Amino acid sequence: MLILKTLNQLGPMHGYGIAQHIQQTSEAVLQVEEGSLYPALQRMLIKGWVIAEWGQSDNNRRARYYRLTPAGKKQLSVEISEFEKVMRAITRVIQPA
Amino acid sequence: MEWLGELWRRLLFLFRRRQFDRDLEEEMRFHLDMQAAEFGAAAARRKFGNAALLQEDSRQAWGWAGVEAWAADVNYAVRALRKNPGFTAVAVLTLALGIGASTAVFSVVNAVLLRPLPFRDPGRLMMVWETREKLGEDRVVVSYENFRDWKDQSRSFEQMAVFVGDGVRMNVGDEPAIIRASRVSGDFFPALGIQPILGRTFVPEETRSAAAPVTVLSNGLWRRLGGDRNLVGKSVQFDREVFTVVGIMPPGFAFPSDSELWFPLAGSDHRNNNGAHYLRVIGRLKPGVTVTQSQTEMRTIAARLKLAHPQENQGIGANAVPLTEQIVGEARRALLVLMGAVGCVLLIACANVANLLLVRATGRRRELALRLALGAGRWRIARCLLSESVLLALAGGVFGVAAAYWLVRAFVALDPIHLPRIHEVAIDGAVLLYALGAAIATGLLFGLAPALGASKPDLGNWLKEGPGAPGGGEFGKNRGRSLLAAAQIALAVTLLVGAVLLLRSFVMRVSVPLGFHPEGVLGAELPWNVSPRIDDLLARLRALPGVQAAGAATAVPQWAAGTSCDQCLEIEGRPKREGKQWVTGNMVATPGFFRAAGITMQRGRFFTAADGETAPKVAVINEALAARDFQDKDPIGKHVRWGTPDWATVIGVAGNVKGFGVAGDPMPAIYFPNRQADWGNGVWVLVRTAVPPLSLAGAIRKEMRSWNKRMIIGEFDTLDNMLAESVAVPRFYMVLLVGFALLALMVSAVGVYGTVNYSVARRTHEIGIRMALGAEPGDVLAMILRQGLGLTVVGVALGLAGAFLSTRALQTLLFGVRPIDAEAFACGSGVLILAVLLACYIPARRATRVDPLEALRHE
Repeated sequence: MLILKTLNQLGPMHGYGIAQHIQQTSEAVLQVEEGSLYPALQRMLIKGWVIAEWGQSDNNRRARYYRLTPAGKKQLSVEISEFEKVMRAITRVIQPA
Repeated sequence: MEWLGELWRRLLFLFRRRQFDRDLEEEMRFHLDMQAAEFGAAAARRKFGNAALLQEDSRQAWGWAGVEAWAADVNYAVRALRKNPGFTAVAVLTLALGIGASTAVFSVVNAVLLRPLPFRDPGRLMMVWETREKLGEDRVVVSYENFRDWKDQSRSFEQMAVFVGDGVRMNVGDEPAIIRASRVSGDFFPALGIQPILGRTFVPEETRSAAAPVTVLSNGLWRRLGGDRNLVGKSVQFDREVFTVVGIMPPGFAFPSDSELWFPLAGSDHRNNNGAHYLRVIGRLKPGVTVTQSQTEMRTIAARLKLAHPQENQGIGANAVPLTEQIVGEARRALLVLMGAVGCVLLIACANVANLLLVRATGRRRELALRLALGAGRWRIARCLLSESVLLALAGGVFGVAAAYWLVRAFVALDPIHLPRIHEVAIDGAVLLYALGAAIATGLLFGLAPALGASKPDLGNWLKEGPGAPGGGEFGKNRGRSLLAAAQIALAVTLLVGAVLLLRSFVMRVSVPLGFHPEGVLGAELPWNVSPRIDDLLARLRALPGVQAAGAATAVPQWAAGTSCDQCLEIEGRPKREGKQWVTGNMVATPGFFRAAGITMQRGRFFTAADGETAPKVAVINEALAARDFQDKDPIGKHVRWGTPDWATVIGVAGNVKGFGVAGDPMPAIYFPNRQADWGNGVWVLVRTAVPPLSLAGAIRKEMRSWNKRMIIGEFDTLDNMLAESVAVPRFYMVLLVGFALLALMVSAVGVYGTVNYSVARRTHEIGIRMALGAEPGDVLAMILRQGLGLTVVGVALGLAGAFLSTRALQTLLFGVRPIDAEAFACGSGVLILAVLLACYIPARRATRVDPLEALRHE
């Protein structure tokens, strides 16, 4: 979800950029491990939520950019609503009545 | 839809994986570089971790890792096997033998036992028979009255139909021949559920006796008559009879017994009203009715009929038999025995290859340990070894199927034992599936031991071993190998005992004294209506050059009797007798018959030309009859009769005649001269020749043809051949089982040899020390042999136990030998112990020649 959201916000981005963005936005609370980032990206490729293409990075190097597909966008909204549902539930549980 | 896209992307990945790999690698390098720019190279690498592992994990997401690893395993296995052609050849050959033999046997079992009969829902078809409780006969042909009552009273059957064999004359080339036909009742085709491909089957009007003659043709006969689609509705002429064709059957339908023509069986047939028992009954069970239910119902009906018709149905019961059982019958037991035997051979082959693999695995320990140390998982190693063994087995399977293909073709062509449904035997999908299954199962089976061994590694010790160095302290491994060898021996002993049993029983069968001399005698069957003029024909045959004697009778001598009866023989001055112990054979013979057959007279004389219609009635009895009915009195001059008003005088006692395969004491039998008695059905002409008998067959046939142009003359064959034919089935099973047993013996001897040889090689050092300390060569020899003998004793004991349990399955195939036969058991295990001792002796001899100095310096 986080990866999808990042791609949705930033537009096409490479793996390193995704990790950086998540880390920065979450103020270093969420660390995205490389060990889960790349397998996750591969899984999304298979699912057809993202597509990958080579492009130029900011420092003029070839980098692999991931872009959200329409299916990915749909998946994102599904996951966000799922997440919100869970969050609401948790909030209700932990809030004193 | 979505999964389709996913599958497509996965496949894309599979085919472009090199590019994907490059992409992934570059991507990660980029990541690493970016991090390095931020935190410094070392920190970045620390944070990033093992790039190769990460890459692996990412790739795993595509889901092809398993397949790729497997492909690598197979690839590796192929390379490993190719580098070791000797081992591979031996293993593949052993497996090909095992799988080939079992595939061939299975293809026969499949066609004969497993594949359903070519009728609609054949499992519901039953044959219904009369029984004769007193005589212990459970499948006797049925009278029309009983069939009618059964049909009316039974509720188990949807249809019940009768059929009876018949034949029509037709000229095939110049020779008249009989075409097999059947007369069937109206329900026959509906009961079988067979539709004609053209026309129709019989309608009820056609089963009235006055109806115009109609017929249904088999597909084969229709094609021989030209295959004209318009033949239906037209008439065909066979010899002197003309029939209207109403239907053509589909190809392959020839029930019962290879019929080519079917005629309606009229309910008012003249034979149907005199109580004759001559019909066969087939019924289709109603849905939901079980075989047992129908059998119970038939028994109840039979009991009722016995009360209703005490005269006609005295001692007659009813018995329903599933059609499959009826057709396949005895072949089932024999085929299952063969299947078991061939399974044993396959298991032995498995054990052998497992042994080879164990040796190999021991030699490869260093390599395996290295791979384990480098991080290969145990499962991965085991899988690697297993794919190697399965690959071996599959290769064996390919050769095995090729061998089976030729074997089966030869078997079908020769048809040595007239197996039912033989022409359906072929290597088809089911058989291939069986071979594939057998190959994979055997591959896993024999690969399991080495694979398990490798998955419990002793890394430190394995790595320390030099390449090819004999490892010490591996009793466990050796025990596994010994166990395999013992199992092989056990299986081989079981097979050998079975084979010896069949061999002994076969020898018993053919060593039964015949009581006649079949050498140089030619026989052929003639239609029974020539019997009144048979003396004339025989005189003409005797005049042919090369003919020594010619005679005719109602049966060939090895059948002992043409007919038999348990109440027909009467002796003057004694009460009429009836019962099993009074069964007597009856044969009608011409005066020349005994000379032609070479039967000897014990006392008195045989018939002469003087024993004609008007001469005093005479008879000849055999020794068995004389012993049963006249004990120590002289039978000659006594008066006997066989269902006739006149008494015949006994004029001679003939030697007993016994055919091959006739168990028990010879049957008491009586001979009547042909001009004073009724011929039964058969007329068998026997010609004793001074030249090789078959060379005269042409001349004899020509002479017979010139005597009667329209007579149907059966195939000429020598009595020797007919005798051989009569034991073809037991001989076939015997040869096959002996062959399997020898194969098993050989393979397991090689297995034992391998085990002992390996252990000798491993113990060279130890043997060297023993000899250096003063052990004599004899001691060493004894030590090695003792080891082998230990294996053997365990194996033989297990095998004898197995034989004890399994030879009962041979019961129906045995003759004159009981399944638990001490001699056979002793002989089987003796042969095996000898073979094993020999297999141990060779490596043991080698052990005695170990040079202590050499052996000690070896380390």
